[in-house]
Amino acid sequence: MKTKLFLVIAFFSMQSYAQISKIEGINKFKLRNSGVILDKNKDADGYYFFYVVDKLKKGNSEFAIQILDKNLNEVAKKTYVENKNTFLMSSSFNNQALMFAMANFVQEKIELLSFDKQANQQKTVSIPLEKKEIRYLQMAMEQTSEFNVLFPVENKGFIFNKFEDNKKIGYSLKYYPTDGGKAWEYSSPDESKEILAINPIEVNDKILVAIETSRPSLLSRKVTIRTKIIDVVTGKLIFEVENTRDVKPRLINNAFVNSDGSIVLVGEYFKDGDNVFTDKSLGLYAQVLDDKGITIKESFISWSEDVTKIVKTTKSFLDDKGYVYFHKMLQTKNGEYYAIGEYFKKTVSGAGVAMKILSRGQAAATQISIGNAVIFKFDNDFKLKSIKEFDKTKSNVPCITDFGSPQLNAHVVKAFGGFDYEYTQIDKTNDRFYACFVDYEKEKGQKSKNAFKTIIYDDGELSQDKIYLKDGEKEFKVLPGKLGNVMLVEYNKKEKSINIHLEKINIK
Amino acid sequence: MRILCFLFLFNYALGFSQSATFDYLPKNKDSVIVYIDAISDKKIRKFGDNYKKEIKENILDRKQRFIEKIKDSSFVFNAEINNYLNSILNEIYNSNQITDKQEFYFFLDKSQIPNAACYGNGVFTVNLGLFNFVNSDDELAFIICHEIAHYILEHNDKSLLQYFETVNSKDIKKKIKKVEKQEYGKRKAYSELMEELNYNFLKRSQSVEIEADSLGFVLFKNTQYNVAASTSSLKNLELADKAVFNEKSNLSKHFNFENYPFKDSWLQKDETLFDLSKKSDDYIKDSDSISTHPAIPIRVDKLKAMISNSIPQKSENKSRLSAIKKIVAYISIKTFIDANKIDLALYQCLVMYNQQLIDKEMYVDIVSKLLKKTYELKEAHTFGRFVSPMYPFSDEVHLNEVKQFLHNLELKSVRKIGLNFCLFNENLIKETIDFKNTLQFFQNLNP
Repeated sequence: MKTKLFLVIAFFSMQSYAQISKIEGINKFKLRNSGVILDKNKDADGYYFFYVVDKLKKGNSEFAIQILDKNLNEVAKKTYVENKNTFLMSSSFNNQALMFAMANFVQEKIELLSFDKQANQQKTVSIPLEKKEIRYLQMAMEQTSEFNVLFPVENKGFIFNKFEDNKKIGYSLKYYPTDGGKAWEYSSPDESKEILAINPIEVNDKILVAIETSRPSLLSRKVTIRTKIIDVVTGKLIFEVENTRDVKPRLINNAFVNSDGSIVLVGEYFKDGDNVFTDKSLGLYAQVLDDKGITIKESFISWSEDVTKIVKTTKSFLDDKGYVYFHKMLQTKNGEYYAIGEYFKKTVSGAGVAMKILSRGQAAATQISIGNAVIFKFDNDFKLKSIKEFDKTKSNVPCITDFGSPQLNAHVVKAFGGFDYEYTQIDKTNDRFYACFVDYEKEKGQKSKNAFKTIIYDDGELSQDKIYLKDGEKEFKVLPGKLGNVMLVEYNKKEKSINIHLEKINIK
Repeated sequence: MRILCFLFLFNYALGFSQSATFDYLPKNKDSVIVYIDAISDKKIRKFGDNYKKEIKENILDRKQRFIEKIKDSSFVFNAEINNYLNSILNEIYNSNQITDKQEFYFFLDKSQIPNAACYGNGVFTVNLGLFNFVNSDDELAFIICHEIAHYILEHNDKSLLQYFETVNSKDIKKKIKKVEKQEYGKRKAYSELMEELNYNFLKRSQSVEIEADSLGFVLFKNTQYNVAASTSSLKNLELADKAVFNEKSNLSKHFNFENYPFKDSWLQKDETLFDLSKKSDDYIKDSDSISTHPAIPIRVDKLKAMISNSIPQKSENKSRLSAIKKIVAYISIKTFIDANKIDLALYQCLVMYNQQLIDKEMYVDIVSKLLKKTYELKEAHTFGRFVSPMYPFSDEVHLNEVKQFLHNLELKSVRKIGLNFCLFNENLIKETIDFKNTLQFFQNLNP
């Protein structure tokens, strides 16, 4: 704590040259955007605020990047001069460096700006973009928050995920080392007649697991999903697992790399010939592959038998409870699997019917009704052990079309953020996970209010914590915090003040 | 002598027990506000027609802010400390001709930063934190003399005038206009102008500190205090420039129980984005680091030259200071608790107990209540609103450790620590109603 000894109180001193600072907006940093620096487990490494500081010649601007650590302390404020249309698109930290993807869609480029552990700026990497690539990038980022543009490889480097304007559309994964290793690039074939996209979802110091989707056209129902296992040191493909519409169609939710090098893929499985985005799945599956891509074991949990048995309903599980949209599947230290989802049903909406009449059939009369949060627990052989529900108020989101399947509409609802699910934070050290939802609570005799609800797995038990997002004059916004914490942005309407603080998610 | 009137008003009998009483508002609040009104009006009159409107606005704004500070519980009022300060002031006043002394009022600011301040209108503040960094009445007396010297030399008034002269000067107005007209790089130009102004201000500020040391020393050497205390006080405060809380709290000894041993994870530090010893800020220029105060060694050297021409040294008076320090520490803990500053309250309580400055009953009472409060704040997700996070660039390693401990604790750990702490100390104060309630609270949480 630096002190100024024996003070003469001088209110009119230094910072308060009030008369001068009255010059309109002269010393104000204008916030362009801000965000959380998250790793793949949704652990907040820090926060950034991107400001426009000054107008410069030749269409340039001076920007400032304010960087806060995970405890909300400002640790750096860096200046950055670039074209005025630049914005901070994505951030990532790999324990060796902090990288920002600075996008400028007007000038059709992305600059990768990085800082070492001493906060010194490193050489920037400029990546030119084609218009088509920008369009696909924007589409991918809008459609899912799980799309990884910038993916950290801990203590090694970063992977930048770029669309490529090939014969149709392809991709390239560009690896930039921070440990002195070699850069590499893994790209889809230039001549491919398919629309190809890729998303890296898991990595360790040896391999990268990425999910490639391939379809002949944007609207095609014939989707092929390939799980690519890539050598993280060389960028060479080790093997891939293909699931087509005709042979073992599957929707992969997550992948885990075991210490013995085996890889576990989990997700939903479908009947041969089904479309994974529009058809009803048959159930959930886990597939274990060895380090050469040979399937060691496959386990299936069907809706019709296995799930219905556990829930003990007279009707089928889907008829009774509805469909489940799975947001995240994960594995705990003892090998058990957990699938986090929300119930949903496609229903007819009174308001929707009225709108349909008024719009002469243009509007949809149906809606997706979202119900309780649900956690499926499986043992390490992927046998379903239990299903636990957590109460949420039912919410309705209009369908885009009355003709699409519930699944297709649910995917659209997911893309537009219509589900209550926010994110799942995984704490591998303490063997915990925190699945977060926002629920608009309606209780009899009480005013409805939003609540941030977290389902916590700890010591083999599931419990729940809740933070109300309104308290008198105060309104709260919740952002991910460091493991086991959330960042609360507290806005006091009366005082017009903002207070941010970290709070632990409570395990009682 | 007006100051004595004010100070004696709070002089209700109070020997230091371990429950020294204090107030956040003066008992004669209305007359204090009348006094502040009067000294502010007097100050406005004193400036006459010089920048009349601006200066009046500034003084009234300062007055309002000060009154808000009083109402906001920024000050504490305790008879023992007031009496003690009075005795030092009497010695200074009796040894010097200080014409306006009847208009002086010394407030006790609850801040832990070792500091004192002169407001230039007769109001002075002495921070509670200052008492931890003085070793004798003599050292405190020199600091007070330094502040009174600021008043006599009219440093505040001169700075205020200089400020308005500067911002209204033709040269500055011209520069402001130039900045306003600039289309590109406006913020940079503004920043450079501010830098120039700040630099000039800081240079002046440094020179007035040397002046206050000199005149302060003249006042000080007329008293019966030891002149050597002038330099030792500065050296003590130089230490405080690094860390204010210099004692270990020994957390692992206080919260290690047979049924629930201390866990290393409670002190585990977070990974950081950068390996830095200070913030990396491209917007802070080197010249910004110039202090309002000259370096302590320079000030000490100047004072040493004056000491060599002074009368022989006397022994320093310390007899009452240790009792006053205890009261200050107790009041500090109470103010921390009242403001939900659990980290500071816990740190201070553990250190005081380690140093045997408070007895075990008080220690158990305070710590058990702090654990209960910690549980309640965490349960309501408001703990972080009151207890600031660990600051990576702070020299306060011992306080940071307590912060880390409190932030790392999960709700279930707090309830277990709370129960074990209460049970371990149950026999000591089990008859106290507050303690019984706290114990019951934790027993209910740990069925």
